[in-house]
Amino acid sequence: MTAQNSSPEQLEQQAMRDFMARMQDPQVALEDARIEDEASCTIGAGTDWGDQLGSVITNPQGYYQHQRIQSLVMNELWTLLKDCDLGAGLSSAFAVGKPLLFKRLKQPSESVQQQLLAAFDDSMTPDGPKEIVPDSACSSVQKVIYTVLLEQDWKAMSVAATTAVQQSFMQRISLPKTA
Amino acid sequence: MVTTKVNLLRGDSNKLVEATLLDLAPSHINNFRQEWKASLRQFSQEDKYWDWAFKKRAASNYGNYECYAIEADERTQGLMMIETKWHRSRMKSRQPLVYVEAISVAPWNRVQIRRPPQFRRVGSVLLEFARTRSAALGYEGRIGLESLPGAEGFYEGRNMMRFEPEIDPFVDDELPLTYFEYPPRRS
Repeated sequence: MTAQNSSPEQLEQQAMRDFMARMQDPQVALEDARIEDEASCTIGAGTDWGDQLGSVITNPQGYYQHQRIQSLVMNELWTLLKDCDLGAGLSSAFAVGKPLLFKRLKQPSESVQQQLLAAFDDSMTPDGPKEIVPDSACSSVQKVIYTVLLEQDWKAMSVAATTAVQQSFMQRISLPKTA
Repeated sequence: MVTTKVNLLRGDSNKLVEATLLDLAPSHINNFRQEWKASLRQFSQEDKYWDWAFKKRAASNYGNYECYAIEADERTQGLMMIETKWHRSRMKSRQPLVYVEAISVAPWNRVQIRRPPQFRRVGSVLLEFARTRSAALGYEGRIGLESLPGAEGFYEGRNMMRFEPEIDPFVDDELPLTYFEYPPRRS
């Protein structure tokens, strides 16, 4: 029986039969135990479902949504900063801006939540994520970033960028000169 | 609704012991809170703060999440959550697979906490059931998961394919978990 020419019920029944056969086979059980003993570790997988994005995350639609929205938001922060032509200051500005943005999104307003969820939906097909995030989703997320970040946050990023540029410049001009 | 008999092994004797694998219920969540958590914290286990009530709500509200528990000796021996629709293989085929969102065994079944463990095979049975769900869904037994630190040896021992972590430099401050996959099961 192959997956292609079996009904869902047949697939399920066959899968359960195979599972029960493995469960009842003492040799398989001993082999499973041997592998666990050899690994000698805590068997576990997965990560905690954080709440860094406020009730968007506690929405049980899940951890996948959390990860995707988080990635969309941080990518757009990077894009916004990159468009500011910060040069050597870009990474420093982003390093400062990222935790600030996480902090501002801990308890987002209802409107911000809806915008983020809409951007998430826009980036997905029924079967999984779109290969390329649509401009519309990017644009929505950028609007959210401008909405939630405070003037002091942008100033902090600006200071970080300026400092980094100064340091980079001073390092260059202090290099030993050859005649 | 799932209720199926499975076999674990007693840790001190390797004798087969009958257990039950079933849908996650409030009683299992209570067990986690009352019987697991203190030990997980004491031994600084990675999953000490996991919220199984939250995972249960996700499974109740959204059809693409499923949660299971293993019971033996009237106690919860292991827990698992899977996602059945949104994840794709990282192999070139990009076929759908069952993604193991979380897998966790009771503290008395962990060799770091108790030697020998009370029961062996709890994690293996849960993993095998995830493959069973994958086969039942027509995914040919493909499953994917991100291993907790230190558990990579177990998944390698089970001949899962290892993928180095995909780092998203915009998001990941720490190295992500190592991803493992079972390819299609050939009959």
